[in-house]
Amino acid sequence: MRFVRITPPGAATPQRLALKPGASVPEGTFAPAVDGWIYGPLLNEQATLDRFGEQLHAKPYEAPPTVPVLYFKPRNTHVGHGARVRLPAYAERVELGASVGLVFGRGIGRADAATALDAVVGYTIVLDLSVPNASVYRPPVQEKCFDGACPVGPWVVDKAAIADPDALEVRTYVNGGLAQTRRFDGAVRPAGRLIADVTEFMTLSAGEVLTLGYPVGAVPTAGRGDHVRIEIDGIGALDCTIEEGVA
Amino acid sequence: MRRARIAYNGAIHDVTIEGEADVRLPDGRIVAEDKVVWLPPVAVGTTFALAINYADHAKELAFKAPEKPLAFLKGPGTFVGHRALTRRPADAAFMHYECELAVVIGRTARNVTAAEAYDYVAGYSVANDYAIRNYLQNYYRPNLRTKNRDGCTVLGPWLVDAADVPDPMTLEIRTFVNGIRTQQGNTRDMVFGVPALIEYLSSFMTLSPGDVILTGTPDGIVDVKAGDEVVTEVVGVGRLTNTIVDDETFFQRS
Repeated sequence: MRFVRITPPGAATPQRLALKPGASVPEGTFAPAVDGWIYGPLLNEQATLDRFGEQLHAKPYEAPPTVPVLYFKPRNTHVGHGARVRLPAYAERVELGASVGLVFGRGIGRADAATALDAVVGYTIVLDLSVPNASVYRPPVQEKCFDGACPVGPWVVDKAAIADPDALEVRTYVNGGLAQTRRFDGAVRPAGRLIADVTEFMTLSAGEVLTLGYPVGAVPTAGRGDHVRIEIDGIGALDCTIEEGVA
Repeated sequence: MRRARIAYNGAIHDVTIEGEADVRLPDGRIVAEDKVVWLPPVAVGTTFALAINYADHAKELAFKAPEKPLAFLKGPGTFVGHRALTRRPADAAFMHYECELAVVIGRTARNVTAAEAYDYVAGYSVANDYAIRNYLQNYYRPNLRTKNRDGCTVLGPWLVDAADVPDPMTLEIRTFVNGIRTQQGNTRDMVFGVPALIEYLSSFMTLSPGDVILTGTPDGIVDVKAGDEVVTEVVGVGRLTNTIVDDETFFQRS
């Protein structure tokens, strides 16, 4: 089963529809596949920590993180499959921070890692578009929160469709060419542990999304006029186009 | 007019406030302040908070005042209303309040200039934006474990209509811990005032009704302990009460 949010032609608000396997998507435009908050972790790959290396011990960081570092993709950034996104005038490129989104079906706080995935109702594709910034010292509000900076979709697949979210593979295509293939098996915190460590201090609610993150600074980028496609087997393909104009 | 959201007699109500703090339900019933459960006065959308937005607070924390607003975001789960309990975890070494003027957006705002910024404000409220300083780590600082904890952002008691706050940039700010004044300042000392903040944020993103800007706190932060009653006040807007509790009380273990 897939859950899609579609705005029919002429309608103002999206409808949420459940599609049986093989069913076609009705006519309309894709709204963001979720309507809750989206959170992502920074530095959730051992390879990213290794790449930062000694920097993590120098100013301004001083020591490696010992708890999850999170960021927000607020509601103005959420757009659906097939969206056209405008970059801020000052930016030439955006990082394509593709990841899997864990969609919660109920509220969860102070979770146990072994059972945390019980609160997940399904999975979607989250494309965190970010203006590159070599520093991860301050919250990247301007870099990550411009309008349209978070395509999400095309739908939420039922949890039963994915045996193990930590075993998924993400493929990023730019203008039809495969730009990166990435797996989550080197995560600092796999899905269950991440949910547990995040909900130690903040409860997540039904409809909210937590991603498994992406290797900041080590993903493909796109510029104006580029077409981007993100594929995750078992979920689908999420498309967006970076428009020629500026936001 | 002052507007609030409360729970009373098994339902949630949008209410107005009369006199000192009497609650008037839509059907005309008047209920005393201590007979209702106060919720945050708006269903909060995207919330921004400002770090080191008062020059004296920057000095207190040994920071140089920033050249552009230093904003971070908050999610919905961190908010509680007037008179709520906030937990101080056992391993918190330094937990402090931050009394702040909260600005609630009333109209969709994109590329708004400072000169027209006030046209986009629905009203003002009071926030107490707690931080646990020993939870700070230097990644996306201030990190969410420090600044987006469940129940650690108090908002209320009510929203004062923008029309009833003639100049939000001349408001006295003060905090009382167990009745003793520990913090005092004035919104005129903000590094970036309300119009500049709306101009800055709306320059790169669309603000929507219900979005909230917490405008930062002045000098005068002190450690608070379980049992402390913390009253954060923006004079002319409201007095917001919160009580600190320990883990045993919060989780009802004792």
